[in-house]
Amino acid sequence: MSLLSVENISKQYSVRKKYWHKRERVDAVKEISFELKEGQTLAIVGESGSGKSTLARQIIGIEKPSRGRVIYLGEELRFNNRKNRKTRFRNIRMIFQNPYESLNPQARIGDILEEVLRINTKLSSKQRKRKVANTLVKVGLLPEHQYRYPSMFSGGQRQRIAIARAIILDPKIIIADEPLSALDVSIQAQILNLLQQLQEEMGISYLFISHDLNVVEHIADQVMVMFQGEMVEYGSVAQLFDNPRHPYTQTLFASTPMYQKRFPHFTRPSFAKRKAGANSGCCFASRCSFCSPRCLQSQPVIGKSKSGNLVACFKELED
Amino acid sequence: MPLLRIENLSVNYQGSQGEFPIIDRLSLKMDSGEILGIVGESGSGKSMLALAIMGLLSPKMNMRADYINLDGEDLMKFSDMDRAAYVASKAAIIFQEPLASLNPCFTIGSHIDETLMFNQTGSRKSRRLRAMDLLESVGIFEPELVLRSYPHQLSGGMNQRIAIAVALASRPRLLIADEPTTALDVTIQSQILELLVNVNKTEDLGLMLITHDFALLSENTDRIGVVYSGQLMEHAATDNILKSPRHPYTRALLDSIPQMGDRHIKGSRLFALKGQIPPMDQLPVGCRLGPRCPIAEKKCVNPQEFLSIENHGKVRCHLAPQKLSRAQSSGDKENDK
Repeated sequence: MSLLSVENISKQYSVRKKYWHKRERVDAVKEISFELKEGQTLAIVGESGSGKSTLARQIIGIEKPSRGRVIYLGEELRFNNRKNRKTRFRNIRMIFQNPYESLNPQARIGDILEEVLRINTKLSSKQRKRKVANTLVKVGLLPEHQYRYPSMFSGGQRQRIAIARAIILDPKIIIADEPLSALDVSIQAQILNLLQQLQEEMGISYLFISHDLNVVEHIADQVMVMFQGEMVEYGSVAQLFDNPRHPYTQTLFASTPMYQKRFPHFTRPSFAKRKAGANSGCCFASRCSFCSPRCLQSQPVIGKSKSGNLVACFKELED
Repeated sequence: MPLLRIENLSVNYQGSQGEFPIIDRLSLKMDSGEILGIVGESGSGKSMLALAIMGLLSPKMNMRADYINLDGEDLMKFSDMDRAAYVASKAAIIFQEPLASLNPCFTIGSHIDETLMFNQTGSRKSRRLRAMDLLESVGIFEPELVLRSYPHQLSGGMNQRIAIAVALASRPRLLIADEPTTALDVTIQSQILELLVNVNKTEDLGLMLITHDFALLSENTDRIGVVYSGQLMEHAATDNILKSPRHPYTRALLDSIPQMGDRHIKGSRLFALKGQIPPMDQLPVGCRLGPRCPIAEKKCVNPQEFLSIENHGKVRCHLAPQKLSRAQSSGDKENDK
């Protein structure tokens, strides 16, 4: 049994493009299903606006999914069920992108961490204090740091505090939403090492959202590629990084300098050339260099390709 | 005759607690048609270098230099007004955040027209034609429509193209791009970079590419300068820097990027520099990397000279003449190639 499985999750927002326009439905996440196994890392890759963060928000329960189910250890986590919410918040924790914004500037580090324990556990005040000190040591800070304010720390240290807040309840799953992109290069390596170390010590599974392909190749076991709210490719790191099949994944590789040498024949992304039908057709058709008339009319369903990846592309599924 | 030559540029910040250095005696040289990459972490002073060249520093910054020679004229000899006019005709800068560098109250057309009016006379019609040419040259397909739009109506990638078009309008000899792709998506990033490199080739202008991303520089640049807390640590040809970096900081930066084909292996770790970049008012004695350096020794408490090394370039480390081995990071990383 897998630790976390997500079935056909979708999220629609209703938005007004101009204020005199009618409300329209926008699909932020469309019918995504995947499974996360214990101690593994699933990376979600995609450009901004592809629905990566929205998907994370559905799983952690900040927003209610429009359709679909989130199943944790065989039990469905309902959005409104109080008991479900408790197990969810205890076992699925989140690290946000920008540590300058995710920590309350008016609270001491100790209070930020202790609050999590006070709400979610029945520990006494003394036990909580001890747990906070232990957790700070675990993420490479000192116990006396709990008396300081977030503004006294640098970006890397703040991200360590955010990680401490995520691991303090010994969760099973951590959702890391671009945890490195606000940090400097030499600090990124420190945080990446810390995440891997914690995974090996505590057996945490990560849902690692990133747009940085070499970081993903370094940390992930499974990779999912998203484009405009849809899952276009899914596979293990070996399958996906040795043999990417979907045209969008290929353009991603072609536009990352480090991978241009490995895949010299992949075409760089071009501008939007043709208008695809609003709701019919493949989501990538307007930018795809292999686009055929069929791609504009009907939508490819995700399926297994020859190399074992799950791909949503007619070209791959036919032959 | 080099296009840009800077000798001993220092920038000091005049704060309430006294003066402290942002850039410390930095010297570099650039030829026209060359792409120079400047790498460094945030707070290392790489953006201040760009602003100092352009003369855009805030009044709280004091700038000193032996000379800054841009296309044959020494900028330090000009008066402020003359200097601004001269720099505007010879150099242009592109900033990180395209939406923040364009004025939301004006159309794209008036942005470009402003620069054109400053640099050349001509009728309104001829300026408009030139603006359309510029937009086409940065890969915008419907220039007439775009000229009439406002920055908020366009995407981030489009706005960055427009910022480039505005920069090119003055036919600069030197183009400084300060983190031009950091705010953009990966796919757009490669397009913008390709555009900048094309511009560099066709117009034969010098391109200074300031970034924190080594991977971005590896493909395109001719030479790279590595900046750490206001000092140039290593300045050499791209191949030399990537294949055999002589400064421990360069080495560490390169090692801390996951290598291609570096898969998830239990227990494998990246090499990471300890600590963080020191604040400018609490610089360590001697070598500024000293407390973080994995191979620091006693001699490192002395100030480091900027040494020339044969067949390589210039390095600010007394250990540089001996070849740095990759041994410092072994144990952290086993699958090195």
